Amino acid sequence: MLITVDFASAQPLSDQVAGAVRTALADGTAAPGDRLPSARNVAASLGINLHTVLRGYQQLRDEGLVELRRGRTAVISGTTDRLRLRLEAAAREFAATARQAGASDEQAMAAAQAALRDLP
Amino acid sequence: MSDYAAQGRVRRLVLAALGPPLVVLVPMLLVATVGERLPERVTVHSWSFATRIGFTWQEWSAQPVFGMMMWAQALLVVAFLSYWHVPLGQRLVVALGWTVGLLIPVAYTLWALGLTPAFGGEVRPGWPMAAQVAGTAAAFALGWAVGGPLPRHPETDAVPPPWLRSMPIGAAQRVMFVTRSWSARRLVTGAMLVGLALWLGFWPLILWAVFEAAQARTRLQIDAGGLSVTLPWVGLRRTVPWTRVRHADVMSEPPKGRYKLDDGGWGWGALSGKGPVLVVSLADDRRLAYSTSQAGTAAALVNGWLHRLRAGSC
Repeated sequence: MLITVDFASAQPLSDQVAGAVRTALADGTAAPGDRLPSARNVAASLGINLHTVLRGYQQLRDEGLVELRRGRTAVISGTTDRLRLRLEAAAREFAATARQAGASDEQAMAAAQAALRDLP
Repeated sequence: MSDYAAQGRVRRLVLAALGPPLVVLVPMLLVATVGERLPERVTVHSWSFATRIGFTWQEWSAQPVFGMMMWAQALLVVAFLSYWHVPLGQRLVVALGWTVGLLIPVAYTLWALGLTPAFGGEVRPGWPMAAQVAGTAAAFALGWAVGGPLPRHPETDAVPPPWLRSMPIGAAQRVMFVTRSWSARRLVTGAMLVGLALWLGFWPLILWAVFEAAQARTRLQIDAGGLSVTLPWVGLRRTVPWTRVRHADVMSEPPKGRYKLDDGGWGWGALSGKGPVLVVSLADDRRLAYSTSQAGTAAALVNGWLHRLRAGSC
């Protein structure tokens, strides 16, 4: 599992940690039953606060993606909806690209709908 | 190929070879020193080799320890050859050689001294065992001390070749990668050893089983400190700092050679027997190989870290 945080980003670090786990779930590199690295380990490796990592893990728990067990162990939940995560990840990437290109919301939505219509 | 292990290798080989002769020399010295105070005849019952009754001390001192010394010497030399490019392994062989060379004589000495009237004629219960444990630890420590110091580990500041995939890592970014691997072979071996121990009632096999099982699960972590391989069940961790890494690549199947958790001439690592494999080229011309389905990501991250650290960019 790859966890990346960017100190220059406006996104809170805990959101970035949670986002890294969502990406791993979406691309299949993490699967139900897998253990996340311990919060302490992540905090030490990335040089961030332990509570920041725990906040990220709690977000994932609230979304039903992980189960937090005793000893601050986080395990990917068996009920993880991978299709939803993949769609969300692809949508985020599309939205970022559209925004970067200067497209309005309507233009972006129209382009997405057209692309869906064009699929066989 | 740079052979950094060459520095001091002959000295370590000689030191390793010095251990086993002590198995012969110490009993001889003992007989020469206190032989007159020992009983005229000795009975050896259930000793390591055979039961012998009524042979003289001169005969005793020349008993099959000579053959044992030759075996120990041969084993140590073979072990040393397997660590030809690994100074740390050579140092370990020196320490083991000295342990073997002193452990058996210490046991002999304690046993013989217990027979001499000058030393009370009998050994207090428990005391020989404590003395043997202390003697073993002291012999290992002595061998370890004389086996050092080791040559300085080679380092590199070369940037990975451009054709290797590299993950861009920004100046404000922090990245870590964690993956785990299982070795079914280690687990099966451990289970078989437990079965064998139960069947034969030979409990030391349990220790071997634990040793095998402890290596069944490994974790690879890549972060700002380098690459670390951990045995989570025993809490042992080995880290390769970035200064010792040249570059990383992916192979679709395990590379040729021996890659286990202990060092060898080819390198070290944890292979599950099927690809893909992360292959990290080290500054001492060996490799770290680790089986993981995410070998591509791991290799790109290693090269990305090296680019950031050495070229100041990605």
